[in-house]
Amino acid sequence: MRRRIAAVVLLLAASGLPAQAQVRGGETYGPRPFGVLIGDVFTLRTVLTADAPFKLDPASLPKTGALTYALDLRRIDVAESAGPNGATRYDITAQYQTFYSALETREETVPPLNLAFVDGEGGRREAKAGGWAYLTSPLRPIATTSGETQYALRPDATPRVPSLREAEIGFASAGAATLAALALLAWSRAWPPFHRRPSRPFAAAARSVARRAGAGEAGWRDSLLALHRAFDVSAGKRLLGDDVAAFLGARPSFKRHEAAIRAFFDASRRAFFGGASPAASGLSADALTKLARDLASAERAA
Amino acid sequence: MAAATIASERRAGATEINGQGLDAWRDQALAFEAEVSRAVVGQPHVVRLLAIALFARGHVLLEGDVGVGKTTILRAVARALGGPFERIEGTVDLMPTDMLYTAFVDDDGKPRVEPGPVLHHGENLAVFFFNEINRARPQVHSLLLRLMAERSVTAFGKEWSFPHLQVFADRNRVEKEETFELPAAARDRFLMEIAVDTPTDPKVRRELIFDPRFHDVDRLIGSLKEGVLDHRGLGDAGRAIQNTVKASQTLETYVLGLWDAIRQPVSAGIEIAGVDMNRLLQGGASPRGVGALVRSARVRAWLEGRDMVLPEDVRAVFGPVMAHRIFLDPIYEMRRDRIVPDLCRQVFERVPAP
Repeated sequence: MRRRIAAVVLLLAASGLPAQAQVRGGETYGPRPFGVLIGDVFTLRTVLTADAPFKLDPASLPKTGALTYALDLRRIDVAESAGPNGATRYDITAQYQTFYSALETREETVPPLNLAFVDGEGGRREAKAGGWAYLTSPLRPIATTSGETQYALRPDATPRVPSLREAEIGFASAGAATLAALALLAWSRAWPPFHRRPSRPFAAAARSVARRAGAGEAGWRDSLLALHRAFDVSAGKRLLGDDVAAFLGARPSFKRHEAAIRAFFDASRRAFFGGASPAASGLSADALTKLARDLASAERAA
Repeated sequence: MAAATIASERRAGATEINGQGLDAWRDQALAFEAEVSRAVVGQPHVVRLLAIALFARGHVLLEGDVGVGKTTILRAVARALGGPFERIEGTVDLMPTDMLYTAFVDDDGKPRVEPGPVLHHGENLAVFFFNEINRARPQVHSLLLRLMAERSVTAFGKEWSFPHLQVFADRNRVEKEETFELPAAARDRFLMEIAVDTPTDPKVRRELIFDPRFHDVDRLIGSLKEGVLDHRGLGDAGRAIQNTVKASQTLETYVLGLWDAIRQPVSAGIEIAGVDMNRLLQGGASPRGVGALVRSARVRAWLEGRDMVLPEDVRAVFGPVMAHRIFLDPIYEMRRDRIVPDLCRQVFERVPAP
């Protein structure tokens, strides 16, 4: 009982005095410390607590890169959190990679971190923490001996052949849909082959005239009408004799045949409105056929 | 057969009217056009249409904006035509009797009634010019209707007939206040309704504005030669023209095709933007109208020096002769100026010739 009272009195006395500020902790946690091979990467976690007003001096942290001839520091992160009584808790995570090519199992060490803590008023504390030791293991080739059948290559497993039918059908229907959409687009935009080809009324008329012009008066009149219809289609309206000049102005390719075209309209007037016979109209069947042929060729040239 | 036709043509062509052949009449008609064109510049087609109307013995209604020279044109025509000429101004209080009688108090203080404008020159009246016809009341229109259709009126208890009479009327299309629209029947009596527009040729415009000759209309008209055409021979000449100028069977088919197309534009494939073609037409394009069309086309062919009517002749007179005889549904009436010319143009673009 007396000892207990003494302890309490001691505790009270201790809390009443200004405590010596210090850096505590420095525990390091790592993975299993054996069986480490060349090239292995491991992470060590060190936890430290610095009493107020001390703070970790970040300049004291090691730089990433080669630490020893066989050990690289790959990265180092510091997480800061508040501890009790204004202390600061540091959680330092360091990732190392070893390039030590061990010939036999052997202990290697990770050098400790030399950390400095400053209070901002010239005070400085140093602490070593984060050292670690581990066992490296050598890489050894697999020893094989001839005749050991269990290591011989076994035949490949027969591959499973999944059915591609569904994918093929999907592909084909997607392709067909694409083609149909393209065709629709071409149609709506009047792209080839849906574009309007220039109609060739005189070509058709020339064929009809060549067939009918020689077949008496009726054939001759039919030929005149066929040519009239061709002129109508070409002009986009009914073309009368008085409109010939405007028609030729818009279609220079027919200009060469102006005289013949005028003679045609003249003859047509006399035949249809003056009651003249083919002979009296001044346009023979041959001249008519020739005009139709010339116009068809001029139309092709246009 | 052909020889016989030609021979009969020769006889018709040599028809003597008032001592001269049709060729001499044509020369006179061209001289008449030239004379009128001295006073009326920039309107050759209007002058040609008026000449056609004279020889087709039809009455003419001129329509146009204010100040485009409608009255000047008609005065020039009356002057070059010669013969008795009378004019009257349409007003809202004009009564039919005002056209026939003039009532006044004479020197002895007694009331007297004498022949009015229509009867003033007796039955020899050549041109009766009705100015601003749409300002007159329908009663006046109906008297005018009889005067135009029958060339006769009843006054002083007897029938007066005017064998040489030609009625010219004008109407401005700007004003609608205190006006009376001509009834369809009256419009159908006019052979032509000619639109007179402002000339567009800059040279003609400049001349019209700056040449002092055009500032004094009375002197301008007075400077024209009088009586270039013999108005008493016009009737006979017109008849001779109708008998002489041939309309072939193909042309008859063509005109019938035009007639069908204008009456049933849908079946002819005519389309006008923003117009329901099925309800566009209310009527019109009467047989009298189509007859007038052919009559005018014959005169035009003759003036062009041909003895056969061509589709071009029909086309040249189609608008003036037919447009005012086409009656539209009331909802389209407001847009008449745009629709009817479009309709006529499309008719000619659709109906094949020959």
